[in-house]
Amino acid sequence: MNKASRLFGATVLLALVASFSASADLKKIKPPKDKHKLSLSYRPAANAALPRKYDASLGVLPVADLRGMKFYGGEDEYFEESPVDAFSTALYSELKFSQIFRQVRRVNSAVPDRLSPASLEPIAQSNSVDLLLVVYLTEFGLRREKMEEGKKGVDYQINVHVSFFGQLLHPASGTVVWAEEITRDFGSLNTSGKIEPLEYTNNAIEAMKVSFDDMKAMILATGMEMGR
Amino acid sequence: MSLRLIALLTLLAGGITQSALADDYAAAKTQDIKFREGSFYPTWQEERGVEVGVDNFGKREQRRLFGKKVDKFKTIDVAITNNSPVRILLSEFEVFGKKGKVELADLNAVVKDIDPGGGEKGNYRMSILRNELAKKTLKARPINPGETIQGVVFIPKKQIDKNGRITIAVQNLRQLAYLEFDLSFEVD
Repeated sequence: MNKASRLFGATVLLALVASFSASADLKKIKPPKDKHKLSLSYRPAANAALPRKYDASLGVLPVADLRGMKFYGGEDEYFEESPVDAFSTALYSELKFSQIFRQVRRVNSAVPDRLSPASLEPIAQSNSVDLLLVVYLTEFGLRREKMEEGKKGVDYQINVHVSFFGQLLHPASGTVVWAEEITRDFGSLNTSGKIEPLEYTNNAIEAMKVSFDDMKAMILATGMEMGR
Repeated sequence: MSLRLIALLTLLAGGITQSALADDYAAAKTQDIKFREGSFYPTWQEERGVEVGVDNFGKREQRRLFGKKVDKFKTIDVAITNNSPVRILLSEFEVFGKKGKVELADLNAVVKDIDPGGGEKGNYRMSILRNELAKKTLKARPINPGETIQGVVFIPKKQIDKNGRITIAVQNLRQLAYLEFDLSFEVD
């Protein structure tokens, strides 16, 4: 075999290897078996009580799920509970622990299609609250980011992205007391090559914590003052 | 032409296609929906200073924004311009096709349809694609006075012909009240 033929053979072999590598199945992050699933439940920090802003009772409605994508790969079954339910619970407990309101109650009514005094006042009255918090969850999902195109190995950023829109409403007058969009990421570098439930669960909890910290700070800073 | 030369040219062409695709995905990160206010769209409505516009979002634009065109979806792009003095919220939108209200799919179905491939490059492209879809699709969000938001809507092909309708609800963020828009559109 002459030199040119050997060179050609090597080129073809390299090209075939590259082609096989590119067409191999993408490594998927599949939902774990039930016994390996972790919970998104956490206890908010109670040692950072914020100044009371509203001498009023607040009802927190279940979060309305407006996400375009489920947690990952079109599925939500990565945790012991639904991520939307876990988010709703964490939202309620964070506000209750914060001391921003005189009293915080969990309300079981779904968010009405159209927010108005007519649709919200009965909810407020039946739960004996002065204000209602309505939250639209627009993103809560895992984004695995590969840092470099061709490189193999330790180069995956495991980000959990949270985005929601919150409104604090005074049902009796139809006033929007506070409204803001909050968007946060929490990420870590994957060092094992295999993504474990511990990693994305921890990042999801941390992403919720930082976004709720933002929300509380914004309510304190930009929430409308109300007469006592 | 010898068999050896044909094989070599085929391999080279394959390599060029692969790298061109990779470039398209990476380039998509730098690209955004071409900026137009609502009233600059071919179909638009205005109410109390809020303009809503809708337009077909063609294959070329799909590739520019997401790295590759879609097969199982038709796409429109929507703009909402807030020329009113108050903050507003895009709170809801619904699309209607040939059999009534369209069930908009989870965006993971769009990821599968675009199919960025496997291996190291596929992982890299998948990362880009998920992020770009999350950033560039239409979703509930506030709009400040003077601001325009734009977003793409993916409509399953099976549920729509050439003509469709979109309804959009916009909420006042000072006092609870809504503006409702209802626009017809044509898609490729």
